[in-house]
Amino acid sequence: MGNSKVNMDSIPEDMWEKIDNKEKESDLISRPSLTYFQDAWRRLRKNIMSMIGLVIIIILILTAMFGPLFSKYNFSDQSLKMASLPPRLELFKIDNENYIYLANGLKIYSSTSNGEIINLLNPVKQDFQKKFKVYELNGREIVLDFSDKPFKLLNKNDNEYPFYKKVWNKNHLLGTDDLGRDLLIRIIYGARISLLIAFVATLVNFFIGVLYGGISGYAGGRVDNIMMRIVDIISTVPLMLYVILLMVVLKPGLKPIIIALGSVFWVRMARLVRGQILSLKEQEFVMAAKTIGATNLRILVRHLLPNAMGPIIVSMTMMIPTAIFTEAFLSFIGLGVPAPLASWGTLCNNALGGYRSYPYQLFLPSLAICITMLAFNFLGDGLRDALDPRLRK
Amino acid sequence: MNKEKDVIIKVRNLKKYFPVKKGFLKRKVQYVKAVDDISFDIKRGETFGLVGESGCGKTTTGRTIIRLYDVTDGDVIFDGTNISTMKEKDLSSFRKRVQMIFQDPFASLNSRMTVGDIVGEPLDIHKLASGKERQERIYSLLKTVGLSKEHASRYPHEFSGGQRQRIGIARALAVDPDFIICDEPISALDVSIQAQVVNMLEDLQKELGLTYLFIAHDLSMVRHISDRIAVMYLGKIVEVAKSEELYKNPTHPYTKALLSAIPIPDPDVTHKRESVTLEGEVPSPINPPKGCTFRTRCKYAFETCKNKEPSMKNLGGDHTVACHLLDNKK
Amino acid sequence: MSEKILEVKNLKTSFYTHLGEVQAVRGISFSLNKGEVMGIVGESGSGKSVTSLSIMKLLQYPGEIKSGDIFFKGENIVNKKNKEMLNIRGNEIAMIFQDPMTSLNPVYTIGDQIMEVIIRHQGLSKKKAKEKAIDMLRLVGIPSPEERVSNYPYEFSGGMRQRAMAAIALSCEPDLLIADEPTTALDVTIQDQILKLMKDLKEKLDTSIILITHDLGVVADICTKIVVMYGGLVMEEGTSKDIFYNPKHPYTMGLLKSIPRLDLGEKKRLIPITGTPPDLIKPPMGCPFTARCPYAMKICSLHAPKYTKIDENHKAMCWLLHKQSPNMKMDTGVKRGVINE
Repeated sequence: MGNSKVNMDSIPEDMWEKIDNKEKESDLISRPSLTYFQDAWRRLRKNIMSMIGLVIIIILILTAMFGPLFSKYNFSDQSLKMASLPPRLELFKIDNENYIYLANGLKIYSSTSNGEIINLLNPVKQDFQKKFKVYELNGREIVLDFSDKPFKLLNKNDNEYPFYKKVWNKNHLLGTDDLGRDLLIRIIYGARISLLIAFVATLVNFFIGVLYGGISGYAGGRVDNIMMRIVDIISTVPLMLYVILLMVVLKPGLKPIIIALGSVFWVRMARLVRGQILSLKEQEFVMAAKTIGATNLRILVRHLLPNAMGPIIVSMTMMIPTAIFTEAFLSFIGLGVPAPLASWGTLCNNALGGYRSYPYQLFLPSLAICITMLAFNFLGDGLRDALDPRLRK
Repeated sequence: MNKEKDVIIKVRNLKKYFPVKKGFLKRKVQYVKAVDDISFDIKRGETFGLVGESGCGKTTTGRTIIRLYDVTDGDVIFDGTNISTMKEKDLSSFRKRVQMIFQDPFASLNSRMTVGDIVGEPLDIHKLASGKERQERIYSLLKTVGLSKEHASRYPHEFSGGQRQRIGIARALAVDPDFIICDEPISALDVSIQAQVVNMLEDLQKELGLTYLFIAHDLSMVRHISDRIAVMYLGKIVEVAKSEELYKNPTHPYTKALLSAIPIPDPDVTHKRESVTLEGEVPSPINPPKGCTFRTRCKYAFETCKNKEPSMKNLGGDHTVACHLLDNKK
Repeated sequence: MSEKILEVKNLKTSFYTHLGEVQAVRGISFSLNKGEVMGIVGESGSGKSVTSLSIMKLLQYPGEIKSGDIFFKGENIVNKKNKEMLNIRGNEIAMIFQDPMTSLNPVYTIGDQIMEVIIRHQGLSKKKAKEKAIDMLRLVGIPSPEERVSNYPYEFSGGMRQRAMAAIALSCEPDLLIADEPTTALDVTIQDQILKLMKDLKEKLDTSIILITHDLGVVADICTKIVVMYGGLVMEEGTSKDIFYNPKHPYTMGLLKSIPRLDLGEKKRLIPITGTPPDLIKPPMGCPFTARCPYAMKICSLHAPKYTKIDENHKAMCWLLHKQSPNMKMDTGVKRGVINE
């Protein structure tokens, strides 16, 4: 209170004038106007983990959409010569211009010093009894002695070529798969498929769940009772089993997966929406809508659902990783999208055969699944806090 | 004037029972008798107060009259039309003439809609105005309740309780109603704000010739605003009188107890006041006592009270009471 | 009987929200003597509940006591740790909350909840504690307490729950009882019972009571001393008679004018206090009531007035009481009821 300057004993005459406060009558609002979602966004922004999740999701979506434009490979381009090249290459120096990379399976590639693979070398001579192969590179002879581990790369005079260094694979940043397809582009395409399935399945769930739960909750009474018993029965069927059976009947493909996921997960959404509607419909604003003559449809669409949106959005955000995971699982057990399409699950499945020799082929798509699921879960958690009406002040 | 014409709403033997479902198969076994056989008339242009404690059925009465609940039995005759048996879809013209103001200013406005849309919704539903006309109407409604047009684009949570209640009033006024049910419109507000809202309701009544059913538990406010007051206890009306008369000459033992329990904001007066303490608790409305429902807590109760339900007796001057003590005195 | 049990000096409490610092209590001082019943009156947002939570040190994040002192029985408790407060709370200072429906734990019996406090603070055996719990229930007027002691809260009605709350609060015979709107959620007939109970308890146990309410009727009924709060400041303080019959602050007068009187015959139009309370994020420079005050002067909006002593117990914070202030004709809002007999 900045009134210390006032001399209490002599206050200027003009201070005692009565103020005509017309403006005090009007109810001025000084605080900024924030809608529900602006307010939630403000709160979400403060949650570091969710913002990290959100950024990852945005990067993921952008990459999935535009990534392929910047790649010289196509997801289905095969090159058997370049099969199963890892992202990290161990180079041996032949001379100043020539370097080679010794791959698993006793294959030797010529390369530049910074890791650009030039070609697969063909042996000029090979002897499996004595266990050696002879190659020629720009007039130099290279002998690969695989009689004893570690394998040795020798020159004509039996001197070992020196290990040069580990470099990144410049042709294929994340390496190639067993058919020589670029793994990076396949993971990006996998993201397309996985995210597409997840979003579409979630949207389908959203519409069925909201419609079913909304009607059930709003109608109440016997209708509600019957509709919820149906939901109960559906939820007793083991979901995974049901999806697997459905997939077997429908033949693997993009649409069947969406149908399978969409027809199953709405049960939880329906229950959630019903619960929300049940508690909201007793509120006075719904009564007010009735007294002004609003139809049931109007009450449901204009009043009840917008108020139930918070929990619905949170549930949808949490449903996406579940859908991604289920899709990955289905693909992993061979019920996923058919080749040459790739989802993260099929990538993992393909890598399974050679995972001892080429662990990166399994690790990288799995990592993509993990990061995506974590990102969505972090975002969902943040949204739950941000949209919780109890925290609103 | 024809006497019938003076009455805007006539409630006859109104009952509203809520089923209590019990057991495995949810068979209806019992009923909560929230409103049990009440009758009253409200005259055009008057304010009819309805008081009672929580659970006495006053809110249910209001909601049943406006058909938020279906009527179990009895008639509600609004301006000559019996609306108690009407189907929901035929109620449209009734909904244009009868409106409601709710208790909780925080729950009665949809927080996802702007104030303009909230006030404008009745206009949309009844197709009363659209486009520019709708806009103008919303602004004038907001002005009527002392808000400005800048408020139309704001959301309810930006307003204080009193302001929200005024938005609720604006919404009720949008359809230009004749009769408004005020369901505890001020009990959630601060004292200094209560007077603002009450004065506004009084002004609107004078200007627009409105009729109010004013439901509240605060007897001093009800007495201030109402012309006549009905006192409810356990689903029944026990006494109806002009508000002066009710205060000066309360006749039913429950009315007496209720009036005496109210502390007066005047230390000397309130210290002298001798309140009649009511013993015990309000009985369950599922199994209300036979005979007079108040007899379990009434210190004057005698044999007749147990067996016979008291009927409403007119004491003259619009003062009616349901109590057996009146027979005894004679 | 002028032993000071509680003295609050220049207490400031703020809530740190995203919009800024909400200065809920902005420097209030008052004291309470033993056996006194003090009412804190004010509307929502005036800081009355925050004051009581500050005294109990029950402020939740993001609220905290910014400065000031709270002396309880001569000891400053502002800097006490939570652990030390545990021995004071429930034992020497007890509290009754507004909502009897949520302030009892639904999964324990009423008896358990009373016994918990007794065992915690008095170290009685379980059997003795139960006897005491039954005694307490009898004291607060619950019929057949021997049976009721093993009931769950849902088996009690609202009024009975509030009595049970009182039984818990009083079981350790606290020196100070803080009741935050104890009757607001209750019906008038039950309110009447609770108020009678509080009067009885004061007589029997000589407990000092702080009653926080917005209901002037309740205050007139049981308080001997009244503090009127507005905008986080004490506007006026005095005995119950000072406040009701000789109010000096326009806000107090406004409150008296805005409520209808059941006992006075004539039906007069109510005079509301116009406008809405100030935003405590940006509290006004001068007197917080300026914007709603019918007598506001230039000085009011610029400088906060100092307290003027009217007599020993009565003081108010208003420029109108300054010796230089112009004489204004004021409707004080005092209505004297007719006392029968």
